[in-house]
Amino acid sequence: MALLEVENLAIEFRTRGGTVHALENVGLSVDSGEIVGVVGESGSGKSVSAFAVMGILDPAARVTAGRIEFDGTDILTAGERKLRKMRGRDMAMVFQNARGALNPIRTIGQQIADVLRCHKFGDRGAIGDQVVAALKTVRIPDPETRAGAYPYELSGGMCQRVGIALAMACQPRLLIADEPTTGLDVTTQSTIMDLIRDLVRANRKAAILITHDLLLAEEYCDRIVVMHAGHVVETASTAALFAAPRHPYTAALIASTPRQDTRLAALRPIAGSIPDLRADLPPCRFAARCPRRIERCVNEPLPRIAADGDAGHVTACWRPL
Amino acid sequence: MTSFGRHFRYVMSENPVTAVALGMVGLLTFAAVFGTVLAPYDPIATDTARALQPPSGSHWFGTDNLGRDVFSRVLAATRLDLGIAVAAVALSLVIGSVLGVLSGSFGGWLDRIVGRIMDTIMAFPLFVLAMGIVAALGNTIENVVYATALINLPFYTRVARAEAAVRRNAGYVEAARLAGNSEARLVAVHIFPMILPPLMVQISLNLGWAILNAAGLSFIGLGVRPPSPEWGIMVAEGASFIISGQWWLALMPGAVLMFAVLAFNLLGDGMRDLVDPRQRT
Amino acid sequence: MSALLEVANLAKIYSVGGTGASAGLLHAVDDISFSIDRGESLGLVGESGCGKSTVVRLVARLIDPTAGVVCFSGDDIGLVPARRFGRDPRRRSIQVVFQDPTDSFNPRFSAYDTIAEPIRLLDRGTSAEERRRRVAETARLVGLPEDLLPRLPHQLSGGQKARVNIARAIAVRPELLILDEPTSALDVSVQAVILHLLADLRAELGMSYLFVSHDLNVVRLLCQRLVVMYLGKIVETGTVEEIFTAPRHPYTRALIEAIPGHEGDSTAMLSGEPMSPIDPDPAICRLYGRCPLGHDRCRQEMPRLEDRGGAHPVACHTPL
Repeated sequence: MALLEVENLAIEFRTRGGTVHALENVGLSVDSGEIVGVVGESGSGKSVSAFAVMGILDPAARVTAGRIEFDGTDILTAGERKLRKMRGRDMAMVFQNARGALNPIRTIGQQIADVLRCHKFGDRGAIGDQVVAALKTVRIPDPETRAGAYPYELSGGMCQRVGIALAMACQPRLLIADEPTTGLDVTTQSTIMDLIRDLVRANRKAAILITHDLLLAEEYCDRIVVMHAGHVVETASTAALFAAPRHPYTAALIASTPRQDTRLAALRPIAGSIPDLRADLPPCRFAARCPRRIERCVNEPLPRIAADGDAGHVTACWRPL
Repeated sequence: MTSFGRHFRYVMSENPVTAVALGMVGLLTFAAVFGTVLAPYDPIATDTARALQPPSGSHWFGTDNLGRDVFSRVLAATRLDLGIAVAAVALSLVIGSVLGVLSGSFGGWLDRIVGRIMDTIMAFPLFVLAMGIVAALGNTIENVVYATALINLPFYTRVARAEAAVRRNAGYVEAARLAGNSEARLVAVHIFPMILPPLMVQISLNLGWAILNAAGLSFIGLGVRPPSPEWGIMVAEGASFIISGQWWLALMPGAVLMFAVLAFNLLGDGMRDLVDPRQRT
Repeated sequence: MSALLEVANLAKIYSVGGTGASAGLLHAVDDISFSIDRGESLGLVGESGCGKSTVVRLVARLIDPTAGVVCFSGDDIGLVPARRFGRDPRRRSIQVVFQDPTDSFNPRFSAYDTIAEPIRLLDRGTSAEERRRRVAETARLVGLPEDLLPRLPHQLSGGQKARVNIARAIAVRPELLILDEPTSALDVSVQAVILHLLADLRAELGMSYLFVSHDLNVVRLLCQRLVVMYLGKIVETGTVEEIFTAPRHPYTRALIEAIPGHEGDSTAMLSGEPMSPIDPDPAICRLYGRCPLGHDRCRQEMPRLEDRGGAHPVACHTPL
């Protein structure tokens, strides 16, 4: 029984330019103890999916179909009161702009204490110790003194550590990290990602890593969900995805990502661009850019085809590679 | 221009309040331009036989103590009040924005001197300054305009300066330097036009404030003098008649004054949407 | 053949915080020297705070150096103050492609205006007709469809803006093009397109590149030589092959190990946070304290950039 189960999720936004069909038939599942990567370019809908799970969608968003079940609770029908109790306590999020996610006029110690108090976590009298303990788990040196620091005094990497501490403070079962290292230096990035991975593994938590960086997902995730223009195009274990990608978009994404040994000539761009999500779209939103397109792709609803011998490797394509 | 037209229609449809405000301002402008021609009676012609008549079919706003038609006077006053306000705001806008952009772009001693001058001006309440100028230079409408413009100057200077200082280090300013722009051209072509949208909002709000001030100054006898019709003077003259029950002498010009200030205030927000290019699609 | 660009002992020091005695000195760039030959593509790598953006602005003559020489084609261009360099005839020879396409466009200028402006200002005397022809030609070179030229920046996609960004920099055919993280803000598929474009342009127009980036995988694709910076100093330079296969400075090694997917050992990792760039002790190596190695000599004498025994230059007392 998966900890988080998202099925057939469809979300649209009403804007002055028309209705944006942000997500269509999106599904993913996360078990305790695993790190699932959601990979896609800008506009793929990965952040919207995460916000839907947390129940923090923009008021302009409308969920038109689907089911989100977290640990037995139906997120889409649970009231705001119930969700508020769950956020921070059972599921938590780490955001991209670390400094922006912190209150600039409260010390980091106060902010962690706020979360603990809000969820009545632990011993009220020992909040100070708990705060220091939380800072220690994210490997902030000299935590007793640092607890009195304000966000502006900290570097970007330190702010992100505090963000992780805030998210993990009440030991949530699911951690969603939305591009947690974008904007950070690559040396800081690897230490932050190592930290997230260690915390998740040590306590058998579940985690979703949202990123546009394919190589980062390869290094830190057990399974990967590839998204394109609001659709899930492929889901597979990390090893299977990179060894034998089946969806043309996944293959194209891998081919356009520079690795250490890539030659410039081997770097293949992807033709076209993300379709306008307000327009009338064919069943496969990658069809316009796909070299393997056939009639079925623009006429029939997309299938979910599992690979032979690997039921977990599913592709939404009529002509998988 | 058609894309501007489309955008204009869009903004108006999204903000019905702005559309209404634009209509109100349009009405006032029309009255200012054509008021004297359309007035049913001569604004300064007296007819003591018809003094203090309440509003009726023949005198929509009634008559005042000298038998003058209040409606015609209010209509005629529109030109004067609007004219003073527009002149004062235009003056302070032009001088203030130039001073502000220069001090924001170049900093240094220019910035410091301009800053001190603006601080000094802000220390004076308008009425005190207006009285001082009028006492020194004479009680004329021009001096009232100058006084209003002067008091208003620091406002535009500060906004312009802040906007210019922010943009001085913007990415596109650096790119413009690489393209060969001299410092002067940088300010004129790349910085100055970008500070206009924030000022646009202020202009409309400012006009409301300036109208109120012009009326206020003439209420206490500065600038405009009887028998010239002007809302402030009319309110002042009509105030003493309220007690005896002739409310229309003071209320009518007061209501129109309120209408005018409200119109410009409401328009202020809508102006920004219209002018900011990022809102265009 | 003399180098196209020669930078010697370049330094940029800012006064920060307070005035007079309480002011600190921020050493953004501290005594660096490097050169770029004609037709060469040099990569400048380092993380935030290393000074690479300052180097970009110093070489492009947008700011004035505190010390040191910037020599272009044999001329000391540091003699002309940055304020007046816009009118110097050499302005057209050094251009920059900036990182954030959104911020680097005047929102009221169409793509056409943006590309035409450097031609109008730096190539005086061109007729409007001539300008139009050259803008069209430059747009074609960068793969920008002509019907996009009348558009305003907010009507263009990220990839299209990146092309306009490049177009306006090459509009006057500079000899040296400085690229400051040109693809960091782009999706990976668009990045691939732009990288190909940059490689093609270099071949077609014969420009030299100074390619600044924090992404080593990207730098590797377009550059022949690399300079690695840390806290205002150059710690290592060499060919791309040398740096990647045999990094000699502990910082370079940590940088390479940190690339996701790189097979490496964790002994290369740096600990703690970078030391403050304000009033750094001139006798202590900037990496001291974070470096997995660390000897007494490291805090008594600043290591100098030198090659000993034929290997590529490195600034370390105990290079690997």
